[in-house]
Amino acid sequence: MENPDEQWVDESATPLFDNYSRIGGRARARHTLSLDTQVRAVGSVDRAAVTVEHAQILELLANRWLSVAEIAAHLHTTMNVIRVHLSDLLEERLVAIGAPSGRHGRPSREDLQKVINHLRAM
Amino acid sequence: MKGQGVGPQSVKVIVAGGFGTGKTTLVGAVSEIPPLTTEEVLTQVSEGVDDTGGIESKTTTTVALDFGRRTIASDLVLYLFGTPGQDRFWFMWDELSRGATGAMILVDPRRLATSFPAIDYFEARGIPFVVAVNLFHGQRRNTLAEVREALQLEDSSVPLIECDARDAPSCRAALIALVEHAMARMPALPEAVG
Ligand SMILES: Nc1nc2c(ncn2[C@@H]2O[C@H](COP(=O)(O)OP(=O)(O)OP(=O)(O)O)[C@@H](O)[C@H]2O)c(=O)[nH]1
Ligand SMILES: [Mg+2]
Repeated sequence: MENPDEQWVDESATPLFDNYSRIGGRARARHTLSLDTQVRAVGSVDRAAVTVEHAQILELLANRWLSVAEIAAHLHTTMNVIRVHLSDLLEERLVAIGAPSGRHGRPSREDLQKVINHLRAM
Repeated sequence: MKGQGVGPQSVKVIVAGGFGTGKTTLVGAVSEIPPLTTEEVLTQVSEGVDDTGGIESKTTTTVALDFGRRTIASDLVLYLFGTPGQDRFWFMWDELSRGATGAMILVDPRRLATSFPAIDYFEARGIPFVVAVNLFHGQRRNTLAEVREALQLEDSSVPLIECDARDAPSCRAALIALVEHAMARMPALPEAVG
């Protein structure tokens, strides 16, 4: 954050992501969500019916796939906190997770070739 | 699994190396977004057993993790994950390395030894890696052959390349070398392997 005072000025408009209040006690997420697992919001939801944290995640994931690590960074929290929230959202069918990469959770030779071609063409 | 969609596939590359070897700079040079950082809060049972009462003391530390992304295609994303500077956070490395295509290990030619733990780590786990010598001051004191000799790499086919972490084309070339090396190490017939 550029200006440390900003968070106070803006607090009422954009509440800070509450890291811990709603995940009490549960240390582990129930779904296996690795750092690069892709997640996207699905369906429509009444914002008033979900927690502030869930609403923030759903807003971030509207119309796009993002990785668990990116969600954590955008919301200034840790991946473990995000994992717990995403597990809840998965249970409620408000988010979808992308299929794991390739056959054994690893990218295919074709995907790696595409990466090389992209880097060469830049 | 329920709630699964198609979603883009991801290719994950680790950027490792000793303290201040240019990891964050390299991630930033390749990423299409400014490097993101997430602070992971870690609770660890501190080392050393309290032999008087068996009461373990827990310590909490934060470790910054930076990463970047490059969208290769609508269905394919490349992620670069920089390892935490201090190599005592091994379990963080374990999580980062899971499913990784390979690692780029940055070395500062003036302080080669700071990258030894990273080399040991990926060598021991059989994760493909390349060693990129970050030319901090443009001029180098040692030839690549001397660096290779000093690094004592187990596998002589591990690519050793020079790069400038601030220079995007140079970082891309190093990444290409890594992905090519990882592909060369893939089994020819994936079906034949369990
Ligand atoms: N001259 C020069 N400076 C560089 C180069 N690469 C990185 N630097 C500088 O060296 C310093 C360390 O680079 P970082 O990218 O922060 O290194 P790091 O490996 O992420 O450091 P830690 O996360 O603290 O371990 C920064 O001030 C960079 O600007 C280079 O190729 N040449
Ligand atoms: Mg760094």
